Order: sequence, then structure tokens, then C-alpha cells
Amino acid sequence: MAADLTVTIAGVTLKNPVMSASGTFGNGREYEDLIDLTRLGALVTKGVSAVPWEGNPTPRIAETPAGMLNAIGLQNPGIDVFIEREMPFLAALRGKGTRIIVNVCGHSVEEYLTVIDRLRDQPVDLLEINVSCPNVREGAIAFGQDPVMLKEVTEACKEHAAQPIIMKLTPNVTDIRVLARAAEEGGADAISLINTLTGMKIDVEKRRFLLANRTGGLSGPAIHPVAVRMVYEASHAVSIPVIGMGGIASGTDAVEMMLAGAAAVAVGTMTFHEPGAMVRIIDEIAAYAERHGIRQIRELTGAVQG
Amino acid sequence: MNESKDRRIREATARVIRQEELTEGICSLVLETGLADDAQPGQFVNLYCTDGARLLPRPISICDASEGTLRLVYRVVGGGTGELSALAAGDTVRMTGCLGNGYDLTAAAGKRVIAVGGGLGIPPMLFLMRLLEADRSAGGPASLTAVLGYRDLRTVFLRDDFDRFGSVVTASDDGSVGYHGTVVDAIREEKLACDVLYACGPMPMLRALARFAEEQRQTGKDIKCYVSLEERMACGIGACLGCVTRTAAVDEHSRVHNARICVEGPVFEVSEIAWD
Repeated sequence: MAADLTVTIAGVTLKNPVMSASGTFGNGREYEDLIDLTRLGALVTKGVSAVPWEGNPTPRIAETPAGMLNAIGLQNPGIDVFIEREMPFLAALRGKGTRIIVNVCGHSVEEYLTVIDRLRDQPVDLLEINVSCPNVREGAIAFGQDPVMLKEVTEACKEHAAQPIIMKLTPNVTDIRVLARAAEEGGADAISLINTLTGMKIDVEKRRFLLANRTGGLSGPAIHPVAVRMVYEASHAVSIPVIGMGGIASGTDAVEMMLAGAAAVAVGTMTFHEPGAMVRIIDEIAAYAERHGIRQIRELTGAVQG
Repeated sequence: MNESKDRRIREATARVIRQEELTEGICSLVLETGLADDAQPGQFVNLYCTDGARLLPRPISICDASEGTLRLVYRVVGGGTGELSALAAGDTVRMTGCLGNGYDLTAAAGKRVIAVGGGLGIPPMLFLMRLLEADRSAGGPASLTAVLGYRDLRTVFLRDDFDRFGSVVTASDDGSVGYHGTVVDAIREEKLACDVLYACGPMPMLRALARFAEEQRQTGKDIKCYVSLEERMACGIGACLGCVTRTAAVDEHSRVHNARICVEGPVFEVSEIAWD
């Protein structure tokens, strides 16, 4: 008998534990030709802000060994365009059983709340609040690095949100457990981690930074062990569900993340290498479950021994 | 800057028919793939490496395409293209395509056309010239000239492939091939008449062409100049917003002054770009 792959986050049941990582998958439409979107447990959108954001100058991308740096700077057309142009497609996908999670970004608490308010009556299952982007100067990561501010912004978002909220945390902190607890105390329904690790790359021939922003966020398989460790620490610090991400490239990586404590996982950078990666990973998780006689995939969460 | 209406992107595993080095560090890779069937000049494909340390696809412009066959000419610049250069007949390579908008060939109808290629911008001009030449008798361009810029004699490649499709003018930085100077110098000195320019090459060349087109416009000439831009990319299909260019007007997709080079481009009419 095939294993039950469903997982539940804040009362929302996903048909399997695999979702896209925000910023790597556009709003889904872009990948429509290359992957069966209805296979995904959930689709997490590109970050949406109150008004259009320009993002950073180019170059915004640099490849690194088994990873990449990006400094997009959360360019997006703003919530009004998002609702008008992207929501109909997402609503149709939701009708086919893939959960929709909208990633919300802002420079200030007010900006987060503007987006959250606009999403109140939209067919959206969960909100992921980005308090962890390393590439935007104001707001964003500042909220995610200070436990007092994180708790406050979480409380404010929770008060306004019609949907359960996931606080997306940055790994660029001394002790992730402190931030995980702050999010939980602020009323978060779940947390997701890790966002990218701040990095830098220099072209030694030209003696220039490869990214116009100088620093960027490191992602990809290179960061996977760091992500596993942080998901383990965070999940042991809180009782709310943890969505684990960071360099997941295979079903094995996804299972590892669940064993460390994740209730669900997100796949990001690997999609750039292989557009169908998420579907392959879902199939590999199912094969793992069958090989190990696992009836319910949620049994794996935090099940690492010793 | 028009997203093609019937945009359909596919992933495929292509089989290598042959590969050869045209000149030092420049390779010609001929692939057997169904992706070739929808290819347009100015479009590109993403090739994936097998080495797991190299995650991002390598975007490579299409040098030519006919039914089931795609030709790519690229420069070996690092480990990824180094891996591609080791592909031999019978090997396979995973790819997605065809990507980007391509050149607006309808603009050539009845016009005097110059195709300008500089360095690694030369390959897509071959595909463009071949299709435009085939249209000559059926409402295509009134005249067709290729202007090709090389660094020096040692780096000349694809030069003779252009002869079949129109007249060819060359230029080089050191004067060892054709005009001593830039492609724009060659256009000026030859007094090449043109109504439509199609170009691909390094940014300084494209900037110079944009200035040239603007000068012509100021003298009252109706001239179109289409340039293909380059930027570091991750997805190649418009999802990651890595490869944007600054636009003169607010872009319809982004709602800011940024257009995605991989979807709204790589080809833009020069007036659409914010050059400063």
C-alpha cells in the first residue's frame, strides 16, 4: 500500500510535504510548461510588497560551487498587480488541490499589514512572512535578527491575517532558537527556515564584486548541512511546525530535513538546475516510504534517533 | 520587446551530432533535438551541466536551426562551458528551450537591413541572415549586409559562412581583418545605407549602435535598431528576476523600469532601453 504523504501545517493539509521555495519559482505560471504544478503539496509565491519594488542593480546572480548567490532585492510588481494578474491562475491551481502560500515582504510593519489585509479575502491557504531577506536594506532582515522586533512584527501580522502565518527566518543569526521562540511567542502558526546565508564573491581577474549589491544570499546544496542543523535546533525550541529548506536536491535530502524536525520541505535552487526537481523529489520520498514500510510520512518529522 | 504569443518551453535531452573547435576557445556544437523546430533567430537555449557543483544552466544563443538540428557556437570561458566542449558525437546533453523573444524579422520587409555581430554576438546573426535571405523574393529585406567585428585575425570564426546570405563587411580592433576599428566605424566609413539594424555583441558595441541609431533618427531618418542583451541568469524562463535590464518606460510585467532579458528580451529595440 502506498504511503500517506499528507502533512498538516496549522490546520492546512498538503497532499505531500513538498513546496516551492519563495523567489525561485516565480508565481508558478512561469514553470507551467516544464512541471505538473498539480503534483506539488503547495506553491509558495515570489515575495509580494505593498507597492512595486525595483529590486537591486545587476548583476544579481553568481554561481558558486554547488550553489549560487543572489541579490534580486525582492523585485515585484506589488500586491494590486499580484491579485489581478497572478491570483486567478493560483486560484485555479488551488482548485486542483495544490495549496497556495503567498510570501509577504515589507520595509515596515505597515507595509506587511497592507499586503496581509489585501489578501484577507483571497483564495490563499497560508501566508509566509519574509523577515529574512538579506538583500534589502530596510526592514526585512532587520525584523528577523532581533527577537524583540520579530515578536512584535509577528503579533501585528497575526492580528491582521485571515490565514495562518508562517514566519520565514534567517540563518544569519547567532542562535536560531532565540528567534524561533520569538516567532512562536508572537503567535506564529509555523516557521520556515532557512532563508539564504549572506555571502560574497569577487572576480579576482577584474578585482570586482560579482554582484552589484556586493553581498548576496547563498543557496543550493552547499548550504544543506547548515539548514539541517538549524531546522533541528529550531524544531526542538518550539512546538509549532517547521518548514525546512536549504539546498534540498533529492528525496534523501527531504527525508533528512524531516528527520531533523521539519513537518514539510521547500525546494528552491535545485529547480534552476532541473525544472522538474520537485516532482522527482516527491516520487523519491514516496519510494523511500515504501522501502522503509512507512505508512504515514508525517511519522518522519523529528524521528532522527540518538 | 514582445513576449512571443505561442511561447512554449520544453525540456529535452539532445544528442550530439558533432562538435568542433572553430578557432581557439570557440566551439561549434551540433545537436539533434526537437527543440530546433520552433527556434527563432535571437533566441537561446539553456544547457545543463552534469557536474553537480555547477547548478545553473548555461544560456547559449542559437547559431542556426533546421528541422531537428540545432547549432550552437559558444566560447569556452570556464568549467561549465569546458564541460560542454568535451561533448562528442553520440553524447547527450539536457537542455530547455527555446527561450527569449528573438528578433522581429517582420520589421525587415522591404527595408535595407544590416546584421551586426561582434565577437560571440556573431553566431545568432548567421541564423538571422539565412532566414532573411530566404525571404528576399517573398517580401523580405530590400538589401542585406552583415557587419562582423572581431578582435583580430586569430579570433576570426564563421566569417565564410556569411557569404552565401549577403555582402559581408568585417572590422577588427587591430586592423588585421577588414576595417581597423569598430563595427560602427565600418558602417560609417562604408556609408552603409540601412533602415533596420539587427545586432548582437558586447555592451560597448550595442551602446555605440544605439547612439548611431539615435543620430540617424535626429536627422529625420526612420531607423529601427534591435539589440540582443546579455546578463547573468538563473532560471532563463522569467521566474527568478535575475537578468533584468533597465527600461526607458515602466515595464508591463514588472511595473518598474526593469524588463526580464530572458522573456521580454533578449532582443529589444534600442529606444526601449535606458542606456545611461
